[in-house]
Amino acid sequence: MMPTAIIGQAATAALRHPLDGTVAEFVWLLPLLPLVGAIINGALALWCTESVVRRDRARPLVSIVAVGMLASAFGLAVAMFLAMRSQATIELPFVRTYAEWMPVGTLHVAWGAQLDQLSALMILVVTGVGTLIHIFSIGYMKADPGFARFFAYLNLFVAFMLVLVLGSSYPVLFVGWEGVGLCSYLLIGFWFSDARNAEAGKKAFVVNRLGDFGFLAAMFLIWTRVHTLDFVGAHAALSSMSGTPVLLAIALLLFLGCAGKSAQLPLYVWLPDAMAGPTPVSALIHAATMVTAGVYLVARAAPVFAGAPQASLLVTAVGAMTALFAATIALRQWDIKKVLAYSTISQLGYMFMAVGSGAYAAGVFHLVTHAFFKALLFLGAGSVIHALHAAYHHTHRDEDAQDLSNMGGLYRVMPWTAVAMMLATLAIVGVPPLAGFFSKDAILSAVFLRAQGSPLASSALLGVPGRVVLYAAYAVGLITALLTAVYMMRVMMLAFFGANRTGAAERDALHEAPPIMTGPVLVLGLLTVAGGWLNLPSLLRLGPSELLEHWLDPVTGASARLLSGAGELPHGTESALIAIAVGVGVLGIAVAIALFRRPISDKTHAPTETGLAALLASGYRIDDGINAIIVRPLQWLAATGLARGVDAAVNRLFSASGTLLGRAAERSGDQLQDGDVGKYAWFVAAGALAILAALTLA
Amino acid sequence: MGNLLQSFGVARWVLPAMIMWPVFAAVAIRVFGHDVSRDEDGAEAPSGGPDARVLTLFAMIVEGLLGLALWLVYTPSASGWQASVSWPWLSDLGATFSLGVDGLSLPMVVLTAVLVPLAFLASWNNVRIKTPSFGAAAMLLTAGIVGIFVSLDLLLFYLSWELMLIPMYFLIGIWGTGERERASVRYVVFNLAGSLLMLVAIAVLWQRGGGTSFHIDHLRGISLDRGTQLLMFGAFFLSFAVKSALVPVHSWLPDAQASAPTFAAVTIGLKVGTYAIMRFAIPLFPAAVADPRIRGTVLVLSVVTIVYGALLAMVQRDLKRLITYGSISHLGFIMLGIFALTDQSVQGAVLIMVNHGITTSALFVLAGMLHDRFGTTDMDALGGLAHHMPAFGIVLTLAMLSTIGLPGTFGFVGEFLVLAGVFAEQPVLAVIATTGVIFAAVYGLRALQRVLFGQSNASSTALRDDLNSREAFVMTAFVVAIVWFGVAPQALVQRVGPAARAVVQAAPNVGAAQSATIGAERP
Amino acid sequence: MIAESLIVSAILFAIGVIGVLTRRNAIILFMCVELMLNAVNLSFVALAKMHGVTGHVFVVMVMTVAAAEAALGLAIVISVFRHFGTVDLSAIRQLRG
Repeated sequence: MMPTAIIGQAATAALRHPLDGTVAEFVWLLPLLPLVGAIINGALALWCTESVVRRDRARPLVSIVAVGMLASAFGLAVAMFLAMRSQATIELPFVRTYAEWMPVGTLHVAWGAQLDQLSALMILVVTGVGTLIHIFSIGYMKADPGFARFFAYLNLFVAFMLVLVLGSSYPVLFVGWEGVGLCSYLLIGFWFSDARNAEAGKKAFVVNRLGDFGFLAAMFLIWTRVHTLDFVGAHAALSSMSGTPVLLAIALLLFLGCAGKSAQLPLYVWLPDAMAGPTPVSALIHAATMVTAGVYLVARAAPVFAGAPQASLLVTAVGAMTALFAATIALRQWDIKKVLAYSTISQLGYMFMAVGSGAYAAGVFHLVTHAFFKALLFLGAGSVIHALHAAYHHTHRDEDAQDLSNMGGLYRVMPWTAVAMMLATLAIVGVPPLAGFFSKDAILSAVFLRAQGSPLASSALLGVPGRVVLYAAYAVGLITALLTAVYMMRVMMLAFFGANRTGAAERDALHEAPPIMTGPVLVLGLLTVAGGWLNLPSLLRLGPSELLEHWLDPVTGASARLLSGAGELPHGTESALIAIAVGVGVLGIAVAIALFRRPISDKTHAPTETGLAALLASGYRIDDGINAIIVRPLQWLAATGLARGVDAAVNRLFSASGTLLGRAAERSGDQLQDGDVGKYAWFVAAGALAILAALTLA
Repeated sequence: MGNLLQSFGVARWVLPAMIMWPVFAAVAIRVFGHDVSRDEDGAEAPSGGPDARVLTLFAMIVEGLLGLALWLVYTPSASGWQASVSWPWLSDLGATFSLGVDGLSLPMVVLTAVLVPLAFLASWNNVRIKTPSFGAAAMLLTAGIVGIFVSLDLLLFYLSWELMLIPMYFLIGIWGTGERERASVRYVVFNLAGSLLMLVAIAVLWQRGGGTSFHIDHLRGISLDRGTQLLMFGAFFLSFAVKSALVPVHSWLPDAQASAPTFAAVTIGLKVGTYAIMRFAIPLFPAAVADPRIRGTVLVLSVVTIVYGALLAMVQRDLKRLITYGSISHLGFIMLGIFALTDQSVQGAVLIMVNHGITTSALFVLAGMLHDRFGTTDMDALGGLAHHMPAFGIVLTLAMLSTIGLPGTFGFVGEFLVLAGVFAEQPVLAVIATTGVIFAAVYGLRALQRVLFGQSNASSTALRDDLNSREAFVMTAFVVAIVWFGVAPQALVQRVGPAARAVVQAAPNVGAAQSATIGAERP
Repeated sequence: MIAESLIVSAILFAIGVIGVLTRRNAIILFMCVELMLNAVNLSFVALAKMHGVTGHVFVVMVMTVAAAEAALGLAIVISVFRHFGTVDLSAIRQLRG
């Protein structure tokens, strides 16, 4: 069998690509820039260990290097984007292979980069939002002794993230995939003196590893079937295996990896704990970029998922369930970052609903807008935490700066932050004309459209017809939208409105964040307002419509059409869907205002939580459940069953047989070798005689 | 460079030199070397003669340079023995002093030669008593290990195999820590018991071959019936399995490696056992390897070893024992790769062996540094070291990540190849083996957390200096190797490839079918 | 003639062996060993008649070694006596394992 992959590669090599000789040739430089930044900052971090003077001297340099590298990468990304825009059509991805990595027999893995419409969009988001968050961090981390170390990790993260989105094969993507996991581990445990933070980092890495197990197995399966792991070659070969169990297995294993990285059921448990890291980290890694890698992977592997409709349905179902599940937990969280974390899980669920139902462009659209408004929410929360922390520090009170019950009425002291966060809240709720409205609407109407009639709707997941799954997903999406409005508005009411509960002494110390922090927040606010322009529905006729849809068409269009058919919603239905979605959002806001308008007094929540509320506040006790069902039995098995049981037994077995042998030898030795030389002489003589006899007789 | 060395005829003498130089050096160090006595402040007071440690280091550096020369004169693309010599030895028996390297042994020999001076340099202050004897034992050990890797004569191999035991016994017993006497005795008893049957098998093999030669090429030509092959394979495999510490004959290793001084712990980690399987057990007894029961048993044992080692590593309190159980888990990957008998898996197994010599050695060296500073490697007594020893923290993290198999480090390459190769042959076993990757993350990160993170313990506040320049030099070498081979392992892959393929093809019933299907697909 | 010499030699050797095996006094033991050596010497000399001078060479060699051994052996016996106060070998059991 001559694998089609090789033919495909040969054909690609022969064709001249429109991007040949343009700025796209420098694609290798993109991950390298932040990597160099990471190395420089790492060296600086070592240089200023335990020296406050050096630390102060290094700070400006660290900031310049970190932000400078990111900004240059962003500039390069923009240049590449423009170069791609200037070409009429680019059907094939621009692939460059730099060096062999693991060439063994039929396995050929090379270091290669792939620039296409999807990765171009991703590098813009990663470097753009990344730059803003880097700038914010200069202010946020100013007083931290680990300033240089923080930026070294952050730069390293961006480098790996760029490898992830630019890799031209599954193994190279996997390098970035695990690399961002490593940086996430290091940054969650950034304040490692508290063992709980380090524990949270470890949990994140291990849960991700569970998912990576699926990713690895998927890669091996792909390789054994089509003998290549390059996206171009593998997808060309795999798309001919459409509908086979093997393709289904590959898709399911890949999705296991996605569920780990993007915190979907049941592997979401690490993300809430990951909030132990500094808030800019939560904004960059655990909201805008890394956690969306799973969505990116499903879009990247669209030909695989399109060939396995059951897997696609599963992705939709898991996404919908996660969206609802996380949104309910978010209702009763008191830690502002925990609310945002569960909200992120929920929004990722939306994205998976989209990419699962074949609406890849809608999923990626929500990925982009979510990166804007969720990064904004986290940075805004960071400003609030920063202010409260400074206030408590000022009065030496040991209070939780992240607890919503310590906030209230902050809009008076932090107007800019309040306005920006309000914008982002309205965006996530789906109020027109903010970015979130368009992307959420795109997802819901896409799911509805597929439910009405498509190849996906005619397939089945575990006997349940696809139609039912899709309608259910749509309904869940609407309910989640309602819950989203409630929990986000609750945060805004508790944090920014009503009376201030920070404390009488602290109230005066509260202040708006410095410009270096509010600046990026406001830029993100602008993007939150304008982001919807990326993909306006054609219904609206407001200038160019569905830009993103067309942009991504060469990458995901074929797969999308395979799953969704060629249908389109009638304008009347589409308008109705939009009206319903907006109505639900507004209803949610109204409910939240009604519920939380009443000023709450200090610390009323803790003892009153009972029944369902307590269950929600504890996240359905899932952590306890996992500990009881998986972690503790495994520990018992390893510690008691194996270490003290089997291993000790094996050890004793060998020791005992050794001892027995030794005893036997000792006893016979005692009698034979009693020190009587005469007896020894007899033995010698007898031995000599025996040898003599043997020789003579032979 | 290679051509220049070639023109000096290096290939004709480098292998004998690599065995004889350490033996000669051992004698010289024992005779001329002196302990450098220290006064109470630790300042060195000059005594009667040259410092044995300096002599030893010099001898080891020469050995390392010989190793590098061997690497340079090796022709990567060629197959068959290179730099081979065959001198008369015990001509009555037909035993010859035959040495040679191919793609399997070259990386191991060069690794040994380069690792030895680094490991010794790392334990510079670790050895305080009887330094001339230590140096002599270390050099004899080096000669033994090199001998194992380059012998083409089975009798010479056996001699080297046993020669390794004696200096190791003294290294653990005299310069070790904790229950060192018990550990050293166990080490010798286990390995000696394991290898006695092999001696019998070697004698039978020699006799079947006409009693004229112990050379591997000669012995491979003998046709043996299947029953005999099974018996003799069993005898060889038992010896090699004990030395590799395959579960369930692993229990000597944690004791030995945990109580061994850094230098000995590093050299125990050199994978002589799995090398010998690839060099001798598989080519000599192909019918036995092709036997589905034998192969199946070994494959299952390998997977058990992977999971078992990883689970036990999860619950260790002592850092050294944790590293040891982790390395038992890796041994499972190596065995799995070898007996899956595909191009990728065998190649991957060799890469894990080399990686093990780098990554696990780095971890043992780091653990030794902790022992130098705090007098313990108990993780309960450590903690929060990242604050005061950031460079140490970086290196420990990187080495641990390589153990975990993070892509971009050397640890990933071998594991990826083994699992990919095994997946093609035995998907179920491969999937179970892949779970080892998850457990590895658990024990690896647990170690990092207990040692580096959290609050500093009272007992660990004493001497928490970061790496000094000597340690930094050694660790830089390790770090560069881990990252370099993780990103660009071609230099190794290129050399190992032909030899790995030869191993696969040596077992015809398994390998041929597989090579036929896969080999045809790519020119 | 050779046969008789060999028979005498064998008898002498047997007397020496029996002496070594049965006596306990170190000096007597020592003398018995000398007797065995000389029995062998006798057979060497006798056989030299048939096989040439090699036998004579061995005899001279053995006598030289025996002289050296006697000096060393007696010295050991003396120091054994000094240490233990006896040369009765059954009373000296320091070699017990």
